[in-house]
Amino acid sequence: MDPTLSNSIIYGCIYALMCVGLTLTYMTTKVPNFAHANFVVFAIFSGATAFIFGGFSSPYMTVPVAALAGAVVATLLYLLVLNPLTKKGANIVVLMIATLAAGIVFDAAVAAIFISYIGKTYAKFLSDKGYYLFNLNQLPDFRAFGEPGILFVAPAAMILVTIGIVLLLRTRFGIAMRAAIENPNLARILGINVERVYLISWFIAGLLAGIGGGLFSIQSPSPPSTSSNIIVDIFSGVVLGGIGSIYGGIIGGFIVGFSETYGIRLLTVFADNTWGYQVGSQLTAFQKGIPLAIMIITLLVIPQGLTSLNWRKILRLK
Amino acid sequence: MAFDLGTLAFAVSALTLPGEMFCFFLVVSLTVNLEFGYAGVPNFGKVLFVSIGAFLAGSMAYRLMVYLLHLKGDIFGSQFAFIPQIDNKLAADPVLAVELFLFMILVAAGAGAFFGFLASYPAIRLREDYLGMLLLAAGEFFLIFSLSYDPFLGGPLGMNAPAPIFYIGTIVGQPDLVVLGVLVACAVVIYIYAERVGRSPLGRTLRALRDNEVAAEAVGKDVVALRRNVLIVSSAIAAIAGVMWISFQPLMTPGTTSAATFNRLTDTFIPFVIVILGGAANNRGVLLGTFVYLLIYNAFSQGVTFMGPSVENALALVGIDNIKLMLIGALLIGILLRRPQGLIPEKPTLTMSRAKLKDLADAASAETKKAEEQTKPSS
Repeated sequence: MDPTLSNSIIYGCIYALMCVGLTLTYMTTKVPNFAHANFVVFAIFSGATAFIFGGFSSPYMTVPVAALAGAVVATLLYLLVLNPLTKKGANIVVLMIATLAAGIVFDAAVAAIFISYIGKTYAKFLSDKGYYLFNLNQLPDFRAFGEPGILFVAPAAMILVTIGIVLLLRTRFGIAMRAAIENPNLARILGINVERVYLISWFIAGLLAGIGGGLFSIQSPSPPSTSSNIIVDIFSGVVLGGIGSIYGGIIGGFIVGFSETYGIRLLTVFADNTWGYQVGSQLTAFQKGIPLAIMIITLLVIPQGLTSLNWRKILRLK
Repeated sequence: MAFDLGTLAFAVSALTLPGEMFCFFLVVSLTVNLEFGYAGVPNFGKVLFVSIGAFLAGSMAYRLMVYLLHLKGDIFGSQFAFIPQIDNKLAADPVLAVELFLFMILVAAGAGAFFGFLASYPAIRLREDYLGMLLLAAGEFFLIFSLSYDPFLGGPLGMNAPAPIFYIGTIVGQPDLVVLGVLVACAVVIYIYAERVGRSPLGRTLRALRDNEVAAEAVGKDVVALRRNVLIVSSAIAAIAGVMWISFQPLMTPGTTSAATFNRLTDTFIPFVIVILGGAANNRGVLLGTFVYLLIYNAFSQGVTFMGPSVENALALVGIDNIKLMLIGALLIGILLRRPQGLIPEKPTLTMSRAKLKDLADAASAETKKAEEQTKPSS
């Protein structure tokens, strides 16, 4: 398979996993979470530490560790910061600033615990293993049918998560969750424990961010500044999908991840052929411009996102 | 000897860097206060405007100097050969240096105003959360772009901006003092401007707009124009703050890590910490907040050194800067939970007392009576 196409699919699936969690917490607790990318980075480093020190044979065994780390961090953020703030009647801007602050704390925690403490204490062990100063290159992947294993695992994970969400929304808990999204006060009157629904939705969001992070560290080198890189894609995917539906995150994330990787390839090939290699090689600098452009266009044309459109009507017209 | 010039010079040199940092953070925080405190627009892409100002002004000034001196060669490859020649020229020609500084300020203000105008388009139309996401993503895009697009700033190694004020200072013999003086002058002018805006009817209108947009619109305030103008003005000032920063730290290294010259942490997050710590919609609060923030920041390092090598080594293992960041983040969350109004709370706009209103009304009616009496005889 064309490596650009396979990379685009992989990134699409990974970003879909990252976006769906943000959409979920946004729908339930109405908090625009600016720390979501930092959950991912925390999960990446937790998973990688488990891989390097645990002596796992396959990097995929780190994905559960990463998922758990993401879930713990997300739950802590909700319990310690967001829940008390919401109870005090904080407005949306205050919640945004609080998540921004939490993101800074998580990034500093990654730098302190993993890069500084473990990196310095086990410096020799790490450099022997090829991860000098926690320089995380792609974790070694298996190969199947001449393709990297992640090409099969990432779509499988995305499909499993989608099926999982479909099933979850049909359980008793899913109905309670939908009720809590629709009208929290009415749900409370009907005896639904809204607090528990919120807590579990943050747990799931962190879990999915962690799975996305674990797969990301197999696909791409992940320095601590990864959070700055992926936050553009995550926000773009969430806006594109729309916050009216949980599936919006999956659709938006996939489209953004795919078009970023594939679009920059098309652009550089076009520039190479038209203006020469000198120009083409410089164009990769615009890579994050693609998700940004998608975000701006979405906000201008369909501010409520793709899932807000009446697709049946549009398709029937054609 | 009562007045020791050497001691004074030492004291000044010890206070130069904190003083310059104070001016920079004060100005950026004032713009955050104008947008977020007064007008209620959360600009989470502050780093975008600060870095656009600095990067554009710095790189254009450098290219201009290369052009003026007819230097031949690759502007990034032969940077280290060009810089001494530019410095010598600036030191020899103070008029050119002053002109170059004014040029940098103008470029930054123009670029900041233009991008503020662009940002005002979504700011008028979007909800706070979408606006925050968009501006934050735009800021990160610009930082990643300036890091990876080599023809702009020369890539990861960065570029040295010319330092005109510093070389004006070499003529006097006290370059650091002159740089500090110019920065303090900039900060004072901008503070007075912000204070005048805050106290004016415009400031009260902005607060009314923040508290209840529909009500402000109903009494005839042009919400769209007000928001747009606030963003244009504060973005231009933020861009000037970028020029202030490269006046004392001329090396511009782009990037998204906290080691880069401008990043989300120092240029978006810290100003928000300062504004919330000091008290939003309150310029004196910003002044106090900047002071307290820098005090905590510097006192922490001093305190660790004071506690002796054992503590210092233990903390160095996890990184003192990381601990500092975690404490600052926790401090902000703590303020939001415990004292959301900040150190100096916003003062409500008081209406005039009944007695004073009565006096005013009496004076006005007396005046009309007088005017009527004056016009009577003629008619």
